[in-house]
Amino acid sequence: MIEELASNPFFGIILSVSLYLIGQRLHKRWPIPLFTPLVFAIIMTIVILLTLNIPYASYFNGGQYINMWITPATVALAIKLKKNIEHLKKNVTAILSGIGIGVIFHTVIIVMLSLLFQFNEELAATLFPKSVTTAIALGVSESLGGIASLTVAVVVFTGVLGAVIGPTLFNWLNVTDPVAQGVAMGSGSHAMGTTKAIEMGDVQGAMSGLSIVLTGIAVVILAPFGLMLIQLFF
Amino acid sequence: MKIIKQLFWLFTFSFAGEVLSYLSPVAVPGSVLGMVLMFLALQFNWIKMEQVEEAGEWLTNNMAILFIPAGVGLMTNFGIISSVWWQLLIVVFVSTTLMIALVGVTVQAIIRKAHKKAAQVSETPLSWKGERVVD
Repeated sequence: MIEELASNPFFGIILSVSLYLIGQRLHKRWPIPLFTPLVFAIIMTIVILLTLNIPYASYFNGGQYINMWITPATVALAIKLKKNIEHLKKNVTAILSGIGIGVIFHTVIIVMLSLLFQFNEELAATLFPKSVTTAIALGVSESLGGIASLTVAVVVFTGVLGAVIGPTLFNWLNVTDPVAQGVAMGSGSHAMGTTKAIEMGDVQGAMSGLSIVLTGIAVVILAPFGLMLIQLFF
Repeated sequence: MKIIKQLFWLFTFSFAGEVLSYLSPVAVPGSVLGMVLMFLALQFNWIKMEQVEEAGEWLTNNMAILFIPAGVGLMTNFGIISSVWWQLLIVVFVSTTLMIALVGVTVQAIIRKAHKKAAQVSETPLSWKGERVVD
């Protein structure tokens, strides 16, 4: 009976949304990374499905209706880009070269570590887009033959980690320029880094939001080369 | 009705992006192509900001919730994760730290260099023709 009811689309939708809302409340009271609403909702949904012995496919009957909004939400990132285009024009060289160098360097690191740990092609493709926003990372991972759900997990972890360590890193390295801080947060830890960047200041927030989109585009452009590297080494 | 019209545009660009992605010889996610198309449309005033703004910002501001089903898919991959979980943690930690540090330092260095140059230019005396002397 449980399985039959769980296959109803409303089950998956209600389960996901309610856990997300609970996560939001918990995070407001105790702002620890585990209670980041997305992290909390994913972990608790898995725990509940496993406990009740409900297969992922039944849950996804409802889940797919949430999932389908990712594409229009990604398209809507164009609005953010358009609104912040003036910030980009002012520091275009610094921002574009910073992101370009960052993305190339990030690819090299991923390939080197994947070789070190003897990951297979699938895992390397899963990790390649990890610093960009989930929507774009999902698309890139799928088109390179990675494991989509693992990419989501790695991207979320990257975001949580970046938001926590970003400010400390800037202190250590004496990065005080607000534009540099914002670009680093957005390109290194996407939307979750941006949430932190908004707390740091208006310029940081706007630059971070802009950098999410630019880094996403840079990773998409670099993806064919990433694929070549992966096929060459693995 | 307004929201329906706005969603209509977002869905139309989503589908246009998917169509382009299907036709394109290289693997580019349709969502990203849709985003580029939408940006061009806004930039060249083919559609106005007001025609997509509310629904679009509502979606981007609440994006995190959309990734729950994809993330829950992890439960179908426990086999792979259990064998490499600590290596994955190291990869994420090292690559994220270095990425943020490198981008922060690079962008700051380039901005400072540009400011220094700008300051030098304005300090350079004008030549007799009234042009700045820059080498």
